[in-house]
Amino acid sequence: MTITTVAEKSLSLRSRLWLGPILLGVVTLVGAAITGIVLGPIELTTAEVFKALVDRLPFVEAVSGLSDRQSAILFQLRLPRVVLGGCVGAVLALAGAAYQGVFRNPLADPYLLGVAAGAGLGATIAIASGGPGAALPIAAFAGGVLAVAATYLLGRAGDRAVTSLVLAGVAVASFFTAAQTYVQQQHTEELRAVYSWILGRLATNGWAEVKLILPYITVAALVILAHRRLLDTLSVGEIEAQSLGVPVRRVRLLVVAAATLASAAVVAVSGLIGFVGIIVPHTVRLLTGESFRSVLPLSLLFGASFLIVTDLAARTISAPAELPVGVVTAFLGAPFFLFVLRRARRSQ
Amino acid sequence: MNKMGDSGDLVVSGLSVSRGGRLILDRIDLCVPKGTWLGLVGPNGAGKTTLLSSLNGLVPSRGSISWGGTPLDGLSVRKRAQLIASVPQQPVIPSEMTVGDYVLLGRTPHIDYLGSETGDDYAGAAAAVTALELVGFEQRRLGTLSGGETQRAILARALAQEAPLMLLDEPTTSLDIGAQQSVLELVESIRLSRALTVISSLHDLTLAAQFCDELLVLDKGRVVARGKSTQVLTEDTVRTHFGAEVDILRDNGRITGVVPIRR
Repeated sequence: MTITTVAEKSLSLRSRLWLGPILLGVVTLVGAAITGIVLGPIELTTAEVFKALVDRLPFVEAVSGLSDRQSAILFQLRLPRVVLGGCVGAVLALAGAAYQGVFRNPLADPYLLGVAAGAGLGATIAIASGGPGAALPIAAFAGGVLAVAATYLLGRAGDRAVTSLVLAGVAVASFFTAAQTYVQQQHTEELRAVYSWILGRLATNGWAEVKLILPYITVAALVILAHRRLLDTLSVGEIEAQSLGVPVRRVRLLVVAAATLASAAVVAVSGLIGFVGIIVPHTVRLLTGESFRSVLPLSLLFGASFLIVTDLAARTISAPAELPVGVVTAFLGAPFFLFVLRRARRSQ
Repeated sequence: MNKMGDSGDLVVSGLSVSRGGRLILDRIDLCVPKGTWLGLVGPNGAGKTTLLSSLNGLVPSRGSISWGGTPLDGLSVRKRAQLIASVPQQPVIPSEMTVGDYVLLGRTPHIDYLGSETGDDYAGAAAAVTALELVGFEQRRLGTLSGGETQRAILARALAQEAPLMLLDEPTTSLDIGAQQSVLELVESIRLSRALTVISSLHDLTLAAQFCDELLVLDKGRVVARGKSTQVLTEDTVRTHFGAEVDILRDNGRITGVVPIRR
């Protein structure tokens, strides 16, 4: 074996390095989903749930032994909520990781960039003006795009420290949230209470929310995942990436558009749930390293598990009352934010 | 044997760059035959880096640049990157990235937009890793390398691009004297084995004289001298354009040192 073949082996090795973490992610997700479905004021057992799910498959009959009421709880309450939590968590984590790659800033996240607040304002205006339900994600997307553009322009005006972008995001988010509160107070009849939206919650009305966001988040997630190699090339900076033949503007535009579309869609149904895009991708990085090829798919998997579990905590900690899940993620996220900030400062 | 515009020759004519109303490069004409090493020398602010950036398409310029008769300004960034590999003076080093992944970035112009690496890319990167004597470093993080090792990793990335033209902006800055020498020797050996054209700016006139086939002296955005180092590097040229008093040491028709003299 020549020296070059040894080097070649060593280089192609890396694609196999994160099979283990992917498996771990799948197992965690299955575990989180089962726990989220089984636990609640009305207890269901894993075996019953499993049989009831199998029974729904075509050509398979299984007697779950669930009463009609239990069955309704499973299929109309627990399952949609777990699936929605999984989708929202996966999207927020994936979008966070994608923004971090495009802006080359470890603190970029749909919440901190103001995207969530912008999308919230767009969604609020859509509801308040009584437009058709299909207009909701589009209005949320428009608000999100406006916010991310404002944050980027404001952040660029500051120095090059990672915190400039976040400060700009905080300013933009406050502005959009203020505007949203104003719109809500003008239309108290049509809208839920202000605080419930701003704190973020996973309330479901059967499968309606999941069906509404699924097309948008599927397309957006596929676009982001397809750019995983190109996001790695951006880690050498815009100028060098361009001289390596990367059409930097196109990559940025597509990834930011996809991340914003996905974030806007989930904000439209869940409100402002913060810090998932910080906590999950950075934990994944500690596990497998910085490459977006592993960070993106793993953020998707662990993001789903993370929000299913935090939502479970949100509805059990002070049962029978329910905490907004955004309160739980903020509670975990703020210390984590400090940790990431310190790490970023040190490496600068 | 090389004539103007032969396949693989780099031909630049009337290249001008202005920034903020100031002329940084003033009508540069240049022909670099395939497989040669051209050194750009000149005082600070002469326009060396700007010349390299404009060849690379990173700054807007007037005039024309062509490679083997093909004008470069019509090419996509990807096609251009297949022809030109460049090493900036202060590359962005993603300290958490492994040497292997970093060198593989050099394969970017050969991979489709949404594609991923194939066996050819691993082979190309491995050859570059071997040529720059980095075997065994593939899994090391860039942040753990010494200055000389980092510079070799950067050159390996450029080499993995398999572009026939390599632009090096001050490849020896911040290296100790031993690392400077070994980096330039490695550039020389890969240039010869792959028939690469190399254009590099070099601060150190002694090294420039010893490694480059030809030198181009830039001052205030203009070409003021061009030719073999023994013709171009004279006490007078250095005094006029660098404002320095030097002794140029020669041995057997080669320049062995450019030594500043205390005035």
